[in-house]
Amino acid sequence: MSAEAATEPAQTAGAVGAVATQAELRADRRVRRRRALLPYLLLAPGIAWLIVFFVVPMWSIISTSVEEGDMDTGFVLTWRWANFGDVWTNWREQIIRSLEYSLMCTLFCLVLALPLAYFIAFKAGRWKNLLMALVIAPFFTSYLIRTLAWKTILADDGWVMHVLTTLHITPLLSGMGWTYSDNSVLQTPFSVVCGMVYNFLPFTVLPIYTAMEKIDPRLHEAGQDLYASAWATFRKVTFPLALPGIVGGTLLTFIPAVGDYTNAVMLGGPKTKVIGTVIEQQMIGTGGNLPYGAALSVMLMLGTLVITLAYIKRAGTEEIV
Amino acid sequence: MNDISRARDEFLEAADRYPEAFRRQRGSASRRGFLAAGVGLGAAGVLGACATKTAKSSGSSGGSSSSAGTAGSTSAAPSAAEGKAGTDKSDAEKVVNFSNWVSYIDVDPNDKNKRPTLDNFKAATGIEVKYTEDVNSNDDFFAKIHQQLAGGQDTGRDLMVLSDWMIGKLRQLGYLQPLNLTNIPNFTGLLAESQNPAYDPNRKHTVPWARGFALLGVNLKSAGLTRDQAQQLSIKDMLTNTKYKGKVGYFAEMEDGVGFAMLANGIDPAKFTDDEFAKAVDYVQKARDSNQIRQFTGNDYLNDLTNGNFALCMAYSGDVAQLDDENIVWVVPQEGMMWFADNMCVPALAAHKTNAEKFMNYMLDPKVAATLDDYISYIPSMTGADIAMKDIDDKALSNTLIFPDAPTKAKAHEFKDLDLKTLDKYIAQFKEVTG
Repeated sequence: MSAEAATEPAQTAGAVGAVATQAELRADRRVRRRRALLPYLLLAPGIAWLIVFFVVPMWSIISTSVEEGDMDTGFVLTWRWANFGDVWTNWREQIIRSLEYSLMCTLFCLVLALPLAYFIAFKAGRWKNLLMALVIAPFFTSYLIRTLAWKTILADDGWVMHVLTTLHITPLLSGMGWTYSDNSVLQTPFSVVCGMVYNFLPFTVLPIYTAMEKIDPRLHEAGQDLYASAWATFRKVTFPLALPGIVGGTLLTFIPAVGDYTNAVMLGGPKTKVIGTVIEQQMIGTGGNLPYGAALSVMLMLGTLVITLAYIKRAGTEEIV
Repeated sequence: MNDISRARDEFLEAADRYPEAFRRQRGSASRRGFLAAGVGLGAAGVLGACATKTAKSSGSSGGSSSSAGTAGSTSAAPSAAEGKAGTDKSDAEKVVNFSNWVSYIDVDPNDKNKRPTLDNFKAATGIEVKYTEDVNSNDDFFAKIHQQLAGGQDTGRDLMVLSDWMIGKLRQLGYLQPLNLTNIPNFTGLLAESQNPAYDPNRKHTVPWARGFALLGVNLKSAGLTRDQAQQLSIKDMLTNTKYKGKVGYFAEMEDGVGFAMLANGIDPAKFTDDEFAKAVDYVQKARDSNQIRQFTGNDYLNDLTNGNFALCMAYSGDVAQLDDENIVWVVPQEGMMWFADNMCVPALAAHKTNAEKFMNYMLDPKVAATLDDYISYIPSMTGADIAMKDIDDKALSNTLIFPDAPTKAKAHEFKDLDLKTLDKYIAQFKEVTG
């Protein structure tokens, strides 16, 4: 059947070709060429956009990363790939720390977001919209104010510290090296990760909620009919169906979290410097070495890309890519 | 103070510290702005970058200057040219764009947004002072304006207040404009001791804003000390006594930070060797590594001190006096303290230089200087300021922060005058510790 269908148009074309004049052939070719061009013309605005806002900035940052010089004499493109080696030796500690913080942040966000999204999607009933609005509500306040609020929340004489101390959790944090003196957590990784989790949580909740919302509740009933426990239903039905949302949510959290430095600057101290701070200092701060800043950015971009691709491959969800 | 007003204060402080986050940076599209913004007018940015690059690289030969990792630069000749003059629009535009430090000017007690000194200046001359508190530390501020100055662009500022050593650095790099003294007749009234500082010989580029001391700020409750006990504190206590572990704030600025560590080790900050410098840096490093120092700060230490997150911290004398808080006191450490002198200057290509000079002249009026220093509790540099002060606030005359007596002055130390190269080397060395 398929073979017949394939040969038929060829035969027709041949028959037409036999009687067609030279002029008709040329006109036909012109039309076809124009048709071939059409998709590209339609794509042109998009491509122009990509060139201006993606290719040019990318080229700018990559070429800057292999320049050398200083701010007073200017930077010259000398293809100095050694910049990458330099920044790795100089700031390896901060790069690894950024990855640690963002992984911790993603993990905590996931732990908080899964039950929250599940509750909103399946149990909240008519409160669903209100609860979703509450998840998004913090976005109406400036990012900086929200982060600074944590300075007050975690202040040495604040109620969080009093509660942690009363519950004898502070010595535990102390054991992990997450306190400064015995009754303070500000300026430690603890406060930085707290701020990050708070700021990025909505990015984890939203995609997971959207994925869970789509799940037909009758599937849960079916699970129960087949004598699955609530946990088994969650594991075998809800979780796999929500996986695209989970993968999307973790990526939306992890990728910006790697480069985030607001939390580290405002809630951290001298020992919580992350790679974002280094890039800022090199690009627009006291470091004053644009190529190093650019090299770090490229490195961070590639690193995040590799981790992300590996993660997507492993999670095996095609829907989100 | 309740939580909301505290959060509000911290927000305002952040707005001062990170002004870019709150408003667009002034000045034309620079290469750095383009990179920092990530995206933007790509093509324009790249073209602009190419233009600057060729203009600059024609002077230097290819990639011979491959300084790896060192901050700043010292390639300009020590006796650099003067800062370029811009087109002076002073007559057409009656404004001065003024960058200053936080808590460094008098405000109306009834309305914190009103600054009487600036309002009086406008009433007298018709010139409006656009006042921005965007200097948190000399280093950070230098980073903010460096690329524009190096690239031959206007920084958007006509007047700025910076400390002694930074003035020396900017002057040697050729980024400051010489002043036209015909616009500043009050200049002749400067105290003899302020007329010829090492960082700006004969004051060709600067007039004083205020002087003061870097000393200790103490939160009595958080430190568990009485007022009298606090007076016995030393720098050594701050950096080694485990009682204050994790409750100490320390200045990230090299001269203040290293100066204090030198005093604690019996080294004279005005006269030291490279080894002694390294020893002092090491002393701070140890305090940092043992979690004694909780945070390195610029001028943004006040909230942490009043909140009790800091029990002790390095502080500027007048800041603490301005707080007017029973629980917060200033202390001259046993080993001594550091002098600083802040000055007004006009950066290259400033668009309203004449207006800036008129404002400088106004600030040098003994009465105006006395009013300012009475409020901010720093030291005036004008002859006649003490006489003018009698009418304004005669109690201030006995305040050693404003009119220091001989014993107070004896405890204050100056930092060694450094050439550009050494200064940058030392700054980079201390930066390793402060991060």
